[in-house]
Amino acid sequence: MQFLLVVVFSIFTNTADMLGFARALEKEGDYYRAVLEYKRVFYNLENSMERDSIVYRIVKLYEKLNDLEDAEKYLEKVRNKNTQRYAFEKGLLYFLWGRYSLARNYWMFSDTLVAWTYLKEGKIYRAKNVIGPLVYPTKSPLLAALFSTFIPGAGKIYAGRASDGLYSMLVNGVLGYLVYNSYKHGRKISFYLYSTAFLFMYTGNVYGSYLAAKQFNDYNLRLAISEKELKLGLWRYLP
Amino acid sequence: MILSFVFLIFLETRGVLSKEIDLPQVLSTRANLKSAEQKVENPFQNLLLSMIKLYQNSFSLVQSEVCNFTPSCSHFGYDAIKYHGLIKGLLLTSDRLQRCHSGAWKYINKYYTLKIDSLRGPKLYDPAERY
Repeated sequence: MQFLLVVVFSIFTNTADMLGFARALEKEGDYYRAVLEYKRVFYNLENSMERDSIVYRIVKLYEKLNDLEDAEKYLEKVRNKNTQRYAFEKGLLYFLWGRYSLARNYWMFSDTLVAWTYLKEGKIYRAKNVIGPLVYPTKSPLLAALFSTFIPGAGKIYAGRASDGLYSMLVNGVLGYLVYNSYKHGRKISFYLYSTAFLFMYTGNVYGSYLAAKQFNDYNLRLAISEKELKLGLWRYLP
Repeated sequence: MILSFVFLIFLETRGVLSKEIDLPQVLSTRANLKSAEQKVENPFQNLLLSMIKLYQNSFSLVQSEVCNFTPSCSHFGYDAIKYHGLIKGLLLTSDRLQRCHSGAWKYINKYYTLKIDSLRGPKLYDPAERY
């Protein structure tokens, strides 16, 4: 139905007017309607050399609308596929999909873009030669676990999660006291129950501290990558 | 105390606790999770899962809305034990129980994202699949 409407309207409208209208819609941020207008232009320019540039516009708008399937479908309509523009757009589609190794295959012409894919994969050692060193604060997960082994919750405080650490300290402290108290008064059943609960919470606290430090590192790495993207102006490639 | 730390290092060196983030690996892990969903053979694991289910269908129903996360701690524990196995599942569950307090909202957009649960309102999103 949509296709039929496009065909009928295309017959009665001038291509230059339609293109102007599509650009105006795009400028206004009405990407969905702009795509429809560009499609009408695309239909009118069936045999024209300008066709590819319209296809690229449609692809860009679909990317802005986060409709990557349709963007790919339209990208395949490009006639001259042996250009750097096509390779870039194809690579960008895979990049937006998160399939960085596939994007890399299309972006071999640019070291910066290849480095960007490595950066997104977290393989900083491979991107280092192009984008320079990536400096960000880190915490040792094993050290965090070690801290929590001796003082429950200390590892989480070390990993920058003070409220989690204090809560762990409280939970383990209370359970530890209950274990001691039941042992002191010879309450066997209580002792076994509290000991099991304490062991469960204590090991979870050690492992949680280890995870907290890892998450701290991951978060700061992501932050450093974003900052690097801004610094290198890589964001301008994004739709 | 020392024993649990040594045990943690042992698990780390065996690669049980951490793996490098890689898309094909993530996809295969998801495939593994799906296959794990079908077969849970460890009887102790089954017992724990049944106990969590029992809690969810009895005490949890009586309780008001107390958990800060989605999936809730009991659902997280169930998923963690089912998908990650007994040891890692229990460790993750214990850690989650110690993270579930009002102070966790401080870490929104840093370690957790906000998710609006249609029945339970705004919650911190922290699924077991993340680990």
